Amino acid sequence: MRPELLADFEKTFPSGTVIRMSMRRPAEGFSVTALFGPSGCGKTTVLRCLAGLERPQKGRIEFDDQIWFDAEKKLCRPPQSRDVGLLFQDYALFPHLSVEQNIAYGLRGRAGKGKSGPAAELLERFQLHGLAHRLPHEISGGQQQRVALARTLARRPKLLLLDEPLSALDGPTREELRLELRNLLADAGVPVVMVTHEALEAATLADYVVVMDQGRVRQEGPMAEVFSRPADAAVARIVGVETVLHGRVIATKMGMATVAVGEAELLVIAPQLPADEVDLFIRAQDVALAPTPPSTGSVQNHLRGRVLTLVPEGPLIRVILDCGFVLTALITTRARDELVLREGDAVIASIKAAAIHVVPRPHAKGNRQ
Amino acid sequence: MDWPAVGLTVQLAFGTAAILLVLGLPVAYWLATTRRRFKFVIEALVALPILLPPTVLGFYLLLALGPRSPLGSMVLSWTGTAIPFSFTGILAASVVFNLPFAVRPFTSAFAAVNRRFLEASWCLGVSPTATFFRIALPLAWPGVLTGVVLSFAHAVGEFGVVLMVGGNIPGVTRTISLVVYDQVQALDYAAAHRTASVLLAFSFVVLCATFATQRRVLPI
Repeated sequence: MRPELLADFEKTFPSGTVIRMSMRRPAEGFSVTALFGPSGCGKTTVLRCLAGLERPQKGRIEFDDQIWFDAEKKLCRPPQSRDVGLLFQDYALFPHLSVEQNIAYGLRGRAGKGKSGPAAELLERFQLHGLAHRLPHEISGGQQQRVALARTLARRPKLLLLDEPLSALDGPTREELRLELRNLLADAGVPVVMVTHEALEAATLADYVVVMDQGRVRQEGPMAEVFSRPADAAVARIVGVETVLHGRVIATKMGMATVAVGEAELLVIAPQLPADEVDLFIRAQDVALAPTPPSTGSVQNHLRGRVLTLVPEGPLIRVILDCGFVLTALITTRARDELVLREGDAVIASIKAAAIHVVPRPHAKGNRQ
Repeated sequence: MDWPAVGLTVQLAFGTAAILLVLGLPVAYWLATTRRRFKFVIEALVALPILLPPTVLGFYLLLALGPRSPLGSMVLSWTGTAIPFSFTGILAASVVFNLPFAVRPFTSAFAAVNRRFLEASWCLGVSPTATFFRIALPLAWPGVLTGVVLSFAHAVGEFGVVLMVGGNIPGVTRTISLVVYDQVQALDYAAAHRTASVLLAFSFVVLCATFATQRRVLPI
């Protein structure tokens, strides 16, 4: 049997809030699981229970053949004996220690020090060599994140836990580091469980999503599946971005790119694309529907599709379309009545180029240069 | 100046501060980091000497340390000396009486250390004890220093408990503050003035240094 991380537990806070978690994930090889949900849904608590910083009241946590927590046997391993690395949201770099001392902190004895030790190697790998003797407050947010990650990886954990890894960074830095982070994680080659409340972050970093809301798991599955087929309206609202597509850039011209998604081609805005493979994100409210292709207009993308399902959501209707790929549109009930839309009908879906968010596809393991 | 009394006082104050540093740090660290609900009982016990009259504390210490008490008789049979009316006696009394002046600043210093740093250390495989010495103590040291200085200075000026437990024996338990009392009783105001002004100046300088360090006026 493949080694597994099994987490099946319940944590009750004195206030009465209950957090329930139940998931099985691989405990070997690189994979990124996102615990995704709105603030206060309990995802950070789950992460802290996995790390051993919180103790659930019921259930069990197993990692491969180790029992980390078992309520019935009254067993709870402390964080020190769990082989986990936890990257805190605010990084928690020790303010009185230099960059190098922070990275070497968890290394036993003198192994970490010296010019050829693991700490020096990590400084090199994380492009921090010039900063070894600086204090944490003397380096930038992006650099702090790399130091924190290097410190966590120095002990070669078997499971990596990330708490909102990009939320402490400002906009442009965040964009830049999102891709870099995935590559650094892939290099580590261990399973990652990551907490995030941002759809884009989950979509670009993770390959498996566990959607949480109000202390419970609402849906879980491969990232593309959960994002394109939310189990219910609540999950759809939580994930926000309904359509996630993988495409290949076939042409670029004057800041625009043509991306092939299956049979279809989409025109998108792409100032600079370092990769051929891209992820496209389309929100349902940005997709307009019409019975025939409009003869004129500013909208660049028109796709022929067929209505798969109609899901009423109050004054709105979620229309799931088959355009060669699954595309979700959100229209008003009135628009549906005007279009006389039924399941199986052919429609034209229109999307403005500017409404398609393009993110270079992170290098998967194996195809890095 | 009564130099034997000065020497005795300095010994008492150093001893008190040193013992409180060793005893008080673990208590304070526990108080600052525990999530147990009954910790308020320990907090109240530590703070008791602030409220209790020195006579009450001294009276109970005499009973607890006296030759007829279990502790007192044990020490008497081991060392052949009784604790009350000895230097050991006033040192023990001074430690108990100064407990809040050390533990409370220590506790607030540890409480001000972001718990994330401790958790990060644990998650990096470092034991709770090693985390205390490598993270908590270096980050809390200005507060720890304040506690040590305050308990030292307070021990210098201690009067009531030292009188109750030590009994004002010259060269054994008579500290400077007792000397002032004796000088005033003997109507030797000139001598009392000399001794008292030294104590006053000392206390003022110590407090100035402490507050200046806290406000970062004086770099340390």
